[in-house]
Amino acid sequence: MFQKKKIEVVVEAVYLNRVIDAAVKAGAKGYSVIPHLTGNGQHGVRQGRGLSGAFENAMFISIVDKAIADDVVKNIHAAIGEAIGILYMSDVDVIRSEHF
Amino acid sequence: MIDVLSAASSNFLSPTILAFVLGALAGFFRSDLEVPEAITKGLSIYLMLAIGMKGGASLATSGVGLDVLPGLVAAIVLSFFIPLVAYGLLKFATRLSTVDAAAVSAHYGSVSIVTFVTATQFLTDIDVPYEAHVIAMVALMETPAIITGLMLARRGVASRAKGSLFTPDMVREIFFNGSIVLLLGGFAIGWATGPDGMKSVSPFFIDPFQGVLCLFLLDMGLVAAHRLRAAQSLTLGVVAFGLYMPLIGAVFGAAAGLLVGLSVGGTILLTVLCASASYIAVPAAMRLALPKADPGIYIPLSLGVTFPFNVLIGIPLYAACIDAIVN
Repeated sequence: MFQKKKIEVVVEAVYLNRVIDAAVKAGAKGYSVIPHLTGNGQHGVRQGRGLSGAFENAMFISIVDKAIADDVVKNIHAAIGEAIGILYMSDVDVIRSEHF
Repeated sequence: MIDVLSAASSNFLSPTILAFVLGALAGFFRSDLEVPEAITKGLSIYLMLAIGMKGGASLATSGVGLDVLPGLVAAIVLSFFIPLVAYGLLKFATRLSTVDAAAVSAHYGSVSIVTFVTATQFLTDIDVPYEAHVIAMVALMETPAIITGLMLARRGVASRAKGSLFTPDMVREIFFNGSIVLLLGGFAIGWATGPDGMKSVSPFFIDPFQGVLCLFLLDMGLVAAHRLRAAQSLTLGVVAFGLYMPLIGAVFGAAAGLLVGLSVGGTILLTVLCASASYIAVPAAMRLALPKADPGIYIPLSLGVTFPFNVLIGIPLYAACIDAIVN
């Protein structure tokens, strides 16, 4: 097993493309997205109804090499700016190191 | 001559409006009724493409000349101008911050396509024709208000902190958002293929139109009630704005419609456009450009206050007033 970093971002849906661009520019080789998240937090209930996407959250997940993890996080943080979002990173073990 | 009472009652007792009321009641009483979001998105695509194609096919029949230009220019000017009035009123009558007032004002300069579609259905029901190019006016009115709103918001920002007004994703959001693409694309398809093309798709795009609008408005009722119940940032002054601003916008729309020589039906639709507030394209643009503006104000206000007001009362009221002025 190989140690990597998993970066997860819960962000308002309209910012998802900015997050993806920021991560890819910082060297992330791939990512997954979970659209249409619902939940509740500091900004009240987040539920993607009403077509605008303004109350909708999405989740971005990327596993990256430790060497670039901080850069990816910094880039994403800058891209989110003052938007609603949660950004966190954790240690994970992967089988195929070359994929990340 | 449109009788305001009979117009109002025929509007209120139409299946589409009753479906909206049903959705709103279900929302207020916390029913577990829910229209899946993917279906709502599908219905909205259908409605926008259908209204665009109908307008394009109608223009292909009536022909197009330079006489449509004043109406198109008026639509753009109104969309730029109405946010200024809205912003002034908000700063005068409420305690909203500069950025919140600017965001709200952008919504009121832009348009609600669903309100417009409901108004076209109302005109169809009472046999009042309207100009085909009004559909193009809808698409033209989406964006200028966003520009005015952003410029107003920059008044509250120190000049050093002012970045670029438009980032690439903002430009994509406001010029190529789905509703503009569908409306103008449908319009182009309808125009290119003409009445024959429209005839070939009418079993899908014309006959079921009102039924689809019913389903869509059922969901809009649910969403409007949900947003209104969850709204905690709306003060009495802001709610009042959501009720008087449509009337002020309507006056501008009616005056412009009559000035540029639109028919009664066309003037009613321009009036409805000016009275309506966006809740699809503008909120997304505002989240990107003005993240400090509170969506808990501008979405419940446009969706929970102004939209029901226009659909239930505004449309027949504007129609009756314009008809009375013209006739």
